[in-house]
Amino acid sequence: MDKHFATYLVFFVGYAAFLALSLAMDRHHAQVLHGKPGSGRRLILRLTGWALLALALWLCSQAWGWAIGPVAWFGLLSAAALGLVFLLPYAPRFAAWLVVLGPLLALPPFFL
Amino acid sequence: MKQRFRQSMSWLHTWGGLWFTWILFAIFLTGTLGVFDDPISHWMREQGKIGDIKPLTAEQRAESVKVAQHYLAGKAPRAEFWGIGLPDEAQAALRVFWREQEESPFEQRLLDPANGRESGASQRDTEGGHHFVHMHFELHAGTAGIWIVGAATVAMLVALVSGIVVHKKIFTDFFTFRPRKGQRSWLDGHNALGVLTLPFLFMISYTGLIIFWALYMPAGIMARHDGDEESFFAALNEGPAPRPMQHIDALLHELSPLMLRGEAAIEREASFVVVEHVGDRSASVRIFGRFDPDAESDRLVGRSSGNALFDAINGETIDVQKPNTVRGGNVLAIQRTMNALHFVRFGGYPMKWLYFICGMAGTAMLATGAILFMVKRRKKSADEFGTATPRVYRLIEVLNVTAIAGLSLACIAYFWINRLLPLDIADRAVREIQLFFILWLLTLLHAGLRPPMRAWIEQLAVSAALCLGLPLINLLTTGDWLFSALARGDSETAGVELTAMVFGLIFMAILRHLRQRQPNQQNREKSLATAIEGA
Amino acid sequence: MSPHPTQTRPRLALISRIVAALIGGYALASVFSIFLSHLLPSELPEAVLGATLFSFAIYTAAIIWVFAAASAARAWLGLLIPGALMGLLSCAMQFAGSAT
Repeated sequence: MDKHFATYLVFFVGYAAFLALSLAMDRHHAQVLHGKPGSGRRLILRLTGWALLALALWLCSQAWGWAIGPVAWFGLLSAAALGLVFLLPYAPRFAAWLVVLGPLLALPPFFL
Repeated sequence: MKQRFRQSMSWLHTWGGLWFTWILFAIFLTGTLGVFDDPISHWMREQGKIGDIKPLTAEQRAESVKVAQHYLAGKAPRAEFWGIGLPDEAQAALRVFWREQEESPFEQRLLDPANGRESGASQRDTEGGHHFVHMHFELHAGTAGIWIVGAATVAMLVALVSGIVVHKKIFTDFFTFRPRKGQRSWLDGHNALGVLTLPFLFMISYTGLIIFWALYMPAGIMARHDGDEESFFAALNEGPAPRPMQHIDALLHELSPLMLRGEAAIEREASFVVVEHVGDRSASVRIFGRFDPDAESDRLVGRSSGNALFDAINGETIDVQKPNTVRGGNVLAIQRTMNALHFVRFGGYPMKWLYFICGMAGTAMLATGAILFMVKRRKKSADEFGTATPRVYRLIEVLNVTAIAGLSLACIAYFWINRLLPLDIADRAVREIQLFFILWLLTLLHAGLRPPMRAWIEQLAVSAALCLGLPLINLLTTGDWLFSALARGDSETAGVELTAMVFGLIFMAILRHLRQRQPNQQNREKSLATAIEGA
Repeated sequence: MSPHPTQTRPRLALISRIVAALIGGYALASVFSIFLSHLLPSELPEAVLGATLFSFAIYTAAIIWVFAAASAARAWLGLLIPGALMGLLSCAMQFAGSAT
């Protein structure tokens, strides 16, 4: 996997993971979607979040191998989480949409 | 019990953090900038404009070494150390270094590789990005600086651990940042920045200590190896035995054929030649291979460019280590991995950017912590120092401004100094760094003379202007500018200027925030004054 | 500076703790690095390196301990007892090693 492509891909997978995990919490669910999440939705969001984190680690290992992959994983997760945390209070809706918009804008150029 | 533990950790985090925060901020900021020391040097030496320097042929390299040997033999025929840096894409000049004795400082000259004449002011003489790296690990203060940085790094580890204990709701507040809430926002920001980059912060602090492990913690070598570091490291690295001085005069072998033999032995181009104990029977010469970033970016351990060691008198081969081979046992491999992790010697630009982002987050975490300390106490004095409290607070405020806004200002000003200082001035590279420190000192003076909020605003405003104006000053002084750099695909020059502009915008955003706050604060101060008068 | 929360005689005890943390903690980490180098299965230079890599964590933990302890005296004891034990055992192993 091309390293630059992997960088963007894992960043957005990590971003999606953290968005799901944050939406599973009352405070952030209220911020973005209003109201509290039901227990079913909460469970699904949590499982999705953790699954995406695992996926991100696997993607890193594919791109960088198991020595550097985890380092890239930690770094990209930190960057993604920082982006989410400081975007949420200012533009909660946009922060949620970014999970779709970001990959659409950043990833296709690699296939051209 | 748990409550008391948290209380004492809170005390430790507050005060241990505070007294080290300024120095840690400097270490983090310059270290983060140092991630891009090569692009910064590239920008400062105007290498983008020079265009590609042709790589040397083997004969040219041999000729360069000959020229350097001739020059050094004239300058320092009995030096403890000679270093010859062969020209490469980044540096067209031949670099020579020498040191008379082990304790004396290194001398350095740039030579024309064709005729060995000292290069004058033909190019911008600068330390470039290395200035930030040196600031980062030794504060430009040699061994004393390394010790200070080490102590601060231990304080950082302690602050991280105690910070985790103090943070009551790491998981509930994991994604929480509440802006425009005064003290609450500063705490949220401090927590989020620290928690989200915690793996990086632990890694970078611990590996930073490990780089200088033998200096910081020599007890093991002293007790178990009689303190003989040279033979200890020879055994550890499974290298050749050290060659102590014999104090017998001997004539140095021609270096250029040894360089060619070294290149053949490691099957790689030479980049650097080191001679130790020049003029003594024990003299040795080591030929280092050129670093190949493509071959080595995929691995953490066993990345080496190879080197060959010869007896510098009779030319016998002492030792050859081929590129990318591993020597020593598993523990040494762990230590080397830790070094590689600290220096981001892997993964290329994507990884460097991740380090840069995480490093800046850490830098911002330190700044928010220092500011939070004063925000809390501006609202209500905690009266920790009795009658001296206001004076101590004032000192902390001044140091906050100087360490955070002042150093940021000095760092971006260093780029301007590089462009504005005349080219033909003597010791130009040293002057640049002196001016950097003088400016930083001036920000201290300024912070001491102005009211705190004004000092913050003014220093940040200057920093913002310097950041945003960087492409302009480059255009005015060198005729090169952002768009031509972009057009010729010089991403290093363009990257430096674009990144500086992003920081300019960040400073502007902070300024806007401070200006919005200020009227409120003035009102509050006014109402406080009337209240006092009324009473 | 506000007294450490568990302090009764603030200033002197605080200075004592700071000394314990900086110097006592460093000494403990040093002794630890020697002690562990005897126990690690690697060859001598590697054992020393490995032990020293760990010792910075011990230094950090020692500083945390010093400020978490209920009193300055306890903080010192918590450094001195393990330090003395590790020192004695290291000496014993050194002699045993050189005797064989």
